[in-house]
Amino acid sequence: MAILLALICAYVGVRYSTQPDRAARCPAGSFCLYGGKDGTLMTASAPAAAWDLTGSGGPVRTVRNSSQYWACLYEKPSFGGRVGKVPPGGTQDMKGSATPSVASIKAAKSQAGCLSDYERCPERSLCLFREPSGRGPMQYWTAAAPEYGSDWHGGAGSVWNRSVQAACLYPAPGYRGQWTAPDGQHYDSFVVPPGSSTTLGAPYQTAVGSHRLVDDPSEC
Amino acid sequence: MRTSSRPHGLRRLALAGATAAALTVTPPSGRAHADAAGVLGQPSAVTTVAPGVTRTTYPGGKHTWAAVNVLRVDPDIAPLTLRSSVGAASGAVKKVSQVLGDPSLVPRPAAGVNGSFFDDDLMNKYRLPEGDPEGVSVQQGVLLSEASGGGVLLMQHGRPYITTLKTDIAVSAGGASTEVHGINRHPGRIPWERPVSSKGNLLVGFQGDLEAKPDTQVFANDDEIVLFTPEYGIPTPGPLEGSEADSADDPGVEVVVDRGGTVRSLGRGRGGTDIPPGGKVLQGIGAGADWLTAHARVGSSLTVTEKVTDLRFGDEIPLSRSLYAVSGRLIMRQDGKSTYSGSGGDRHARTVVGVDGEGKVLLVTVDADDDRPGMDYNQLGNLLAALDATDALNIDGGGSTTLVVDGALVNKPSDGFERPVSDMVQVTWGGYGVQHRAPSGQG
Repeated sequence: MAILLALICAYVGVRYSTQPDRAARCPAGSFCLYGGKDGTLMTASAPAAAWDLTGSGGPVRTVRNSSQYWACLYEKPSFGGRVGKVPPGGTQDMKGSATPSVASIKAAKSQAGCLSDYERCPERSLCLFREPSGRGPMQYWTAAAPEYGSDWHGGAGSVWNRSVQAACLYPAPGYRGQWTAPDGQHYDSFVVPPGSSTTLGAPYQTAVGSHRLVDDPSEC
Repeated sequence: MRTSSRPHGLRRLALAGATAAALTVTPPSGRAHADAAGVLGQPSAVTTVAPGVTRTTYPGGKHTWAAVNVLRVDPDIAPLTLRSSVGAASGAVKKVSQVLGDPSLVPRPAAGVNGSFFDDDLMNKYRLPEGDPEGVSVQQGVLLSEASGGGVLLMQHGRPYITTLKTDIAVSAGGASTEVHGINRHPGRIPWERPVSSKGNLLVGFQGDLEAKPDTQVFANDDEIVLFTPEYGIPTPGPLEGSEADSADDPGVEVVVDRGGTVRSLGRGRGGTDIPPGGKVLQGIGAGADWLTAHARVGSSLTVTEKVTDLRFGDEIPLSRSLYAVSGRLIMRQDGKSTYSGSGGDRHARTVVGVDGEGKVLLVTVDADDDRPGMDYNQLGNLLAALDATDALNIDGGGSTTLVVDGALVNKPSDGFERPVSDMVQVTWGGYGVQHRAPSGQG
């Protein structure tokens, strides 16, 4: 019996002692992700970290943030899906958290910065994002596009117009189509002034099929 | 260029929501609202101002404040964004309700509050219409006022980031370069309140209303160069004749630079000059006047460089066209924790902008009146914690505290009237739908 108890205690001791050891290995200024098939430690230096973890070898089980930035965890690649936030100096056990699986990660200066991922949009481009506030897969153009072809299908959650002209979004290819709001009103286009970034919201989020860049928004 | 039909969809949605919500007073759900009720009592009204914008009003009752308004804005569900505005002229004060209620604004901003602390000494003493922001001001990526050390509300992509900044501005001409000390303000004038101490990079207190040199007002630097941008919107200021301060009535020099960066004029004396569109004007006093006289030659090139550094992280903040900023003083909360450790200070009406744990933007106004002086910093800190504010900045308050919804003043400023202010924070639209237009010939 005593031997059995000793074995259990030894096992528990080993189990509990691994976590501090792992945490201690996380270098200052880094995000450390523990998990994968063999408890792999992956690290990245904030704020340069912007990872897509696709194919990285198994689920992330623990995230330790040894940086002064927030570690932003995303359920899907390209900063998509549910968003988790680990504060500076914090540790997140992914089991039971808001983002039980992590597919992408980035650094942000504030907690709210985890919810905004517009910064990927190149200068002088019009960028569409699949999800609100610049999150999710992104596509960008530097000129008008009467149809998107294989570049973009369906709706868009948000847009940043980094061009120097106003952007006119249309629900269908060929600068055509209409959105219908809950109150029954129909809209021909959605205007995004130069420099503006915004979530689209209802009803515009349902479909974006083409866009133009114009000097005067009345041309939309 | 703009037609009045564009905003109707948004406005109809907003008005429909507002009307429906105003019929019954149902406290918002959630822990933060329950915690707020614990500090403020039950709300008297909960209104949907626009899709994604909720206003909750708490009466003061027997508290030390007259009323509290809390706007929560969710940039994830509607085409909403957060920006500042200086109206038509950054150099002059203006009422928030006049700027945000301007019928030419299409669509009209959903809501707004007053912005930066500003210098109204000159307005009061010399009857000048001026309101120099106490610290940084940025509009569409254009730096309109230099940093002074207090907290700054940076607005980009619909959510705020609160930090402290350093601005480095330099002028180059004739093969030499030197420091530019300020932007869009009287040369020689220092920020009229300064931080008391710092904790790391975080400024934790202010001395209160500071008359740096009582005998000279707050004109403390006799050797300065100040840049004026077209956004200043009023003629450049001249010497303040009759002032006791040398720098205030120094005639100085003034340099006018065109859109292409070429010096068009250099003259002794300053003031009354319109800043050319796309160009700039520099004023110099003392050694600053000597430098400009020696290096700025008519017909030659003059350039100004600007660098904004985030003192929290040490990196440069790009002056992107999507960037806006107003300045405050005390950062009340950061990373979900209180950053105020003082004894509370005086009670005043307050305005705070922040963001909650869900990423929703918070605009909070605390009203005061003759019988109820408002909140001190401890009371304000308790309120912000109850509102689940992860980051929050105390901006100008007292008689400046103003809340405008749909172009109309909806709070009761403590002076009994709406005070003109330097700049403002607005919840506005990042884009808008164009209503269907029947093809011509079909009515």
